[in-house]
Amino acid sequence: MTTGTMTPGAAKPQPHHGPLTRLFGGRRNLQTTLSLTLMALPGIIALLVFAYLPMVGLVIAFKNYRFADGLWGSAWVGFDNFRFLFGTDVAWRITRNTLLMNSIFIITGTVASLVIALLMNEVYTSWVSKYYQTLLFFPYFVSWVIVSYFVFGFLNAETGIVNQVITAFGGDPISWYREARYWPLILTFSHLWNSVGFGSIIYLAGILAIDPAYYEAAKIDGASKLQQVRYITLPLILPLIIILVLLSIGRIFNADFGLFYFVPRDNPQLYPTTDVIDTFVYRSLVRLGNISMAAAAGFYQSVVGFVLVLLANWFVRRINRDYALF
Amino acid sequence: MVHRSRSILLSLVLILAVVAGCAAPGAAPAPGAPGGQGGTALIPVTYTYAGGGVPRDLQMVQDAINAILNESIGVNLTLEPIDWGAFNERMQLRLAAGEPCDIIFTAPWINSYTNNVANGALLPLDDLLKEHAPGLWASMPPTTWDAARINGVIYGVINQQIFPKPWGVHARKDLLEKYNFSLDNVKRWEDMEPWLEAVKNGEGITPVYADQGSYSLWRPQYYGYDPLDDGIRFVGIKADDETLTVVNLYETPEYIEAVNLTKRWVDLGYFPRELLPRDEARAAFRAGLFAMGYHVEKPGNDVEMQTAVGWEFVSKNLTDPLILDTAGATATMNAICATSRNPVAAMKVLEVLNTDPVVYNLLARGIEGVHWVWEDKANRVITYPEGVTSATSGYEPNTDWMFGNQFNAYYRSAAQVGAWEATKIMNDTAYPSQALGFVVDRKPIETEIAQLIAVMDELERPIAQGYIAYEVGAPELLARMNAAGAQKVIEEVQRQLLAWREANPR
Amino acid sequence: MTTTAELQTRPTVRATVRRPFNWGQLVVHLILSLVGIACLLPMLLIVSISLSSEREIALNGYRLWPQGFTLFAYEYILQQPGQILRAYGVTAFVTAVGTLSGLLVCSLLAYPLSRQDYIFRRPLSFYVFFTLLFNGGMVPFYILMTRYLGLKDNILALILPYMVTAWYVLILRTSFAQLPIDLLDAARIDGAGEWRIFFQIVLPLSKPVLATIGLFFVLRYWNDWFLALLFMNRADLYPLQYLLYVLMTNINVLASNPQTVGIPIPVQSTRMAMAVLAFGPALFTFLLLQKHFVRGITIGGLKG
Repeated sequence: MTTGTMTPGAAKPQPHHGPLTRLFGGRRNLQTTLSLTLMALPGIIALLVFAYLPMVGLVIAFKNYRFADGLWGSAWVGFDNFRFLFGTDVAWRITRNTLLMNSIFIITGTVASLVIALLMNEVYTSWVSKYYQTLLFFPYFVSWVIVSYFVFGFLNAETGIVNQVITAFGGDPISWYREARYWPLILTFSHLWNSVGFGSIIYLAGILAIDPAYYEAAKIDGASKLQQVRYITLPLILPLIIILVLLSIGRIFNADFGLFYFVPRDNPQLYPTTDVIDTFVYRSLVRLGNISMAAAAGFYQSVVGFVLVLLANWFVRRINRDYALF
Repeated sequence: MVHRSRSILLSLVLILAVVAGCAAPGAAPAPGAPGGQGGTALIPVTYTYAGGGVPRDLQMVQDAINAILNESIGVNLTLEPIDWGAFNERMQLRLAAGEPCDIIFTAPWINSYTNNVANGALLPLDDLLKEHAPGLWASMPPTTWDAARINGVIYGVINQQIFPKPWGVHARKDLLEKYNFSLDNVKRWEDMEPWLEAVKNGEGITPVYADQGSYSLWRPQYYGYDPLDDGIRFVGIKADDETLTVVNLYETPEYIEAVNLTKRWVDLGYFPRELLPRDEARAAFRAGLFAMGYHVEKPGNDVEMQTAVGWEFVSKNLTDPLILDTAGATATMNAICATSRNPVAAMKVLEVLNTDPVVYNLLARGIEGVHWVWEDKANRVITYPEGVTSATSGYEPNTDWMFGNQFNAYYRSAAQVGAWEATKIMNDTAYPSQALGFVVDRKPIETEIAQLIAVMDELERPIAQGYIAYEVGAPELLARMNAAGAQKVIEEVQRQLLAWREANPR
Repeated sequence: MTTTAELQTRPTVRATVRRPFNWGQLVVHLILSLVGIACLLPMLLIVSISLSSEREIALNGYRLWPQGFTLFAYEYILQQPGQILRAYGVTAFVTAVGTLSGLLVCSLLAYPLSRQDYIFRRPLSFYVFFTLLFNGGMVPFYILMTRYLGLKDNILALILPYMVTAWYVLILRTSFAQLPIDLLDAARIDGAGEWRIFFQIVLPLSKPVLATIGLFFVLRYWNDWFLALLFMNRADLYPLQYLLYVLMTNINVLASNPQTVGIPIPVQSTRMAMAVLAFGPALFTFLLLQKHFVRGITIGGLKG
């Protein structure tokens, strides 16, 4: 399904139009542009009001915000508010953990969601398929606080199920909450469990939108199921995959606070692998209540994510400009 | 063409709908604008505090209070409880946004007092207090008021309650009797050990209660230190040190003693290895999985603990001498917003709340005959009316210490009679720390503090929890703390402290 | 490239061709069942814990079957049933209005962005995308909402801020861009305006993605408590999740407030009971609507 750039009317002769009309490619296109802009307008205004207007607050990151002085009256302090993020050797660790864990999440999440979506598509006509969909959505309703109870129920030293199994097979029980090295795996599982239903339903919607004619033709050519996936399904939902990955890259510096804070139970011995930018900022600032430093941390995360997306987008554009974000 | 014009019309409608939703700039009614122009010109005052939801009978209580206040000081008070879960966030946003308010609850631990003062959100109260609240001003000695001063100015009215921290133990009465142990001879934590050993072996439980928020025998005041600032955690002075020498608490022999003892208790199985969140730990206590706790053993704590976890307790304070420090004295306060339109009236309300037991108990306990009745009027003991329980009562905030002088509160049970007097004696006889009244200005060292908190959370907690021996963990902790600017913080606090002493000679 | 006529006459493959039983299908079912059970078990645990006594949980840990069966947690939460019912009403209203208006505004914005011939396509895409990453923080947002928009204690405060979400717009855009362009061109040649094309061709063809994004909107509005935390002082406008959040923090404060009188509230079972009350009705509606939901997807899938 190609997204051609054929625009009706563009090739027609363009007699006697004003400069503005000519700029928009003729009367027909001027009207099209007008209509389309009108359509976009409610959304544009909503974003302007609820997203762009508050962005004047970004200056807080560069100010020593004092309630009494307000946004404009507070003193400028340059990059002072950013210092606490980079001052210690922890800076490297939280950056590494955030990037690494989020990269793992993006890759495993995308693959798992895709696989589940493909599997569900295979049995879509079966009566049980809708139960799968519903079941997969359950975890999305469960808050991380509650997940932390379950994980603890599974892993705690005394009554934990996992250790009971290990000892039943003659192994030594593991102190899960003292050993940082297990946690990338535990967190990845928790994240997958929580998000796979959500991700797979987007891909399933994309797959279901594919014209069945393609599969018919492939069947006539004798293509196997795997070949159909390889040559029809995946290429056709590639734009969707790319857009979702690009969007996740934009958030790669923002960790899921609930997951990283509640599930390891804010246990200091696990920080080497579980401490991320968001939990660090929370711990450092919650007792200080410093709005400016919190704003600085958020700004830093946004800028890095922004740069990464620009790079990724540039890369995608070079390969296929239709797939790019902008 | 017809289609097109209709579509344009449609989009116009859509836009208007969106704009209408967003418009009305500046249309927000000015809160606190004088209501009821006709007749008496009552001055409106709003009191904003934290509470467990809006009580069903809030309006009734407010009316009853206003029936008194309208007459006596010409004020119409609006009570505005904000849910606990929203209070800190919403108060900070309101103050940050410069929204007008009158009286607000503020403390070191929620809606931060020092933070609010640093942000210029609170009104200086010295003159207002002396002029419009003489009874309140006289109810506490100047040294206590000094605790609320920041750079010499009072910004908050201290609610009288327990000020020093009498760290001690509360042990289950049934198990004390079963193992034939008395707290009479217990002077220090260590003295509990024979009983802990007996309980551990006899009951098969880990006897000492601990949770994720309360996990160590390190309690600065028990060991004679004034920690100066709970937010910084690692700096302090010996409470009786007249030279006011600021030290890194984690290098003191007392700290080492405390964490070594904690580790010993963990190793002996007296103290939990794996810490539960408070709610789960409390549930375990109720289920009988712990035998004792260590806490602020103020008078009446045994009764309070019994209602909380269901066992009968014997409690004993082990902290001697008691130390009065700034954080303890300012644990709960009410303040007046810098944006208040009627500060004088607000101060008059604070005067009434702190000196008039009738109004105070209306706010803290509700209306007589509706929410409570006298059980023993001479001793000021109340109980529920027929057919009312704590669960069905329409007004029961349970936060005496938020509304004013707690010593004016009616007792909930006969067992508590005398607790206020005993507490007041503790307050009056506690040793005032040499630094009482000093508050750290965190601004110049905020970056370092943020970094240090992260380091301490990671490396100090395992030591304090008794997982890692001090000798093993301390070198890295201290090295990383120094790298994060511990020395700079100590020097800055020392400088501020000496400058403060210069300005406030003892 | 297929034409409109061909598409419409094509037999509905999925519905008519019955595949014979095969082992591949069995394996697929097996895998999906296992994943499904992994998702279901914790939900059963939540229900079980909500019905267990605090003492048994403390002594034995979690079990799939309630131990020391008690309804105390539910009784406690439902003490004032009117309050909970009202909160359900607020949440239902916010979710319904928010989802419908959000879907409309987002797809109206996404459609022009999906058009290669729309000259503001790139700058506008960027305009949308930028809001995904940057935000001004809470203080300016709060000032804007309360002082300039006057939305304090207004139910619109729970709806408007989430109405346009960059993430949803960009997914919709990607999906719209994949519609067969011939169909749109054919309609244009027939003289249809952009609005008609959008409502009569683009939207009907996009049912799968609309259903998906609609579901996301539903979840987002249903689960939100943060906006209420910032802007709702009036208890009668509390949405469900915020009411539960408030009840929970109040219980926690009570549990650690030594002054508390009366019976201590079992925190764990109450928290689980709240989770049941929060997602139970949502799941129930989801199951009820699913028939339509699934059909919507299927029809859309066949047509597209």
